[in-house]
Amino acid sequence: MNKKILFPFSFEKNFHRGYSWTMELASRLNATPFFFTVIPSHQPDQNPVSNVYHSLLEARGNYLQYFRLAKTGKSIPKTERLIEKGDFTWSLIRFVKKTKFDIIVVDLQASELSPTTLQDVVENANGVIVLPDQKEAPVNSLAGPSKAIEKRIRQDFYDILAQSNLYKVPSNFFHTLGRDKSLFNFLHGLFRKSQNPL
Amino acid sequence: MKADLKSLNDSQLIGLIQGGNREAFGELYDRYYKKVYHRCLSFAKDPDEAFDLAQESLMKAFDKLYTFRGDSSFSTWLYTITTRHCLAGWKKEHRKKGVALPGQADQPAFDIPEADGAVDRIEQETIMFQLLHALPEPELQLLMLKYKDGVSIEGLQSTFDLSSSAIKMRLKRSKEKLNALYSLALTYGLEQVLTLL
Repeated sequence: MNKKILFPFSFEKNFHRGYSWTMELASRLNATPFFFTVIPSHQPDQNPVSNVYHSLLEARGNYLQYFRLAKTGKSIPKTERLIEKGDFTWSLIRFVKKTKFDIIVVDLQASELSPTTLQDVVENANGVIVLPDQKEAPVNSLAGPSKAIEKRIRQDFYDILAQSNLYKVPSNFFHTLGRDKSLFNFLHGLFRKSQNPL
Repeated sequence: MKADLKSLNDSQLIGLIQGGNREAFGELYDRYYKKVYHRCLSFAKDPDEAFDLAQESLMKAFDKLYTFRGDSSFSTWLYTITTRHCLAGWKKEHRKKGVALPGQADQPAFDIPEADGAVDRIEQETIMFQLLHALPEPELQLLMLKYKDGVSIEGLQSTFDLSSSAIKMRLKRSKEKLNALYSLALTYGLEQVLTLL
């Protein structure tokens, strides 16, 4: 069965890094990425659904700009969208209670989750990867020869993973990465740092 | 860098993209992704389907960018790819549902006012007439009731059991779709477009 990765995000925040990283993880695991967001009940905008899709397309453009042009040879995963209305935290927790995902990727800067509510998500998930705080990207980070850029993009993916906090991530989850032995070994080492969010 | 790119026209950006410039790709993409999405909305049954169509169309266009020769503007080229992709999806969907193809269903009468001896206009109206009748039945019915029979929005609300804004949105999308099909028919020929429906 196809693996499922969930990335909850607030469409009013900059979620490009989390989107791209989730896409890249899904691509490497042959998984389906699900993008979950919530339209607040008090949303003043007349057409908030369009805003959600615009923001997703914008994030996709950012992903394509960085990863697609790198010609990594991997196919781009087909995405699914989950858009709810109400309160972000409450909707997300209710959702993860009834729908199981193999991995939930959390970027606290791009969602409405607090460290406290993260605990509830972790309790109801099979595995959670919390991305590190985002730092300012260096200027012209993608300048240079194509091969060097591709190498840097691969390294960025590993760097973010290395700095992430992993909760309940099953060790066998990454076994599908057998083709990439170095990544497999790298991830295997990471399982040891599994910890509680609080 | 990004600010510099904003001052470039589409052709200049394409030149840079073909040379491997990622920021130029981002700039060109940003200029069009919303328009592509809204074009797809006129073909799709819901915003999520439109999103899929939009991202696939954008991907297709940017993957084929090396084939862009500049015979038309980039926007025309992109919208043509988008419309064709939407039509292909639409055709697939209709085949799945077994919807009658144009010409197989009984065509209701539709009186097009004749222009005063303007042959071009009659030809254009003939194209529009045939495209109109190639639309799915609910869209055809909605457009006919509104523009042929002059039924009010309130009247359409009770006929279709929809809200006023839903009726207006459907009318808007149907008209946009018809206009897109019309543009395609002028570019590729009516027969070609009808085979896609």
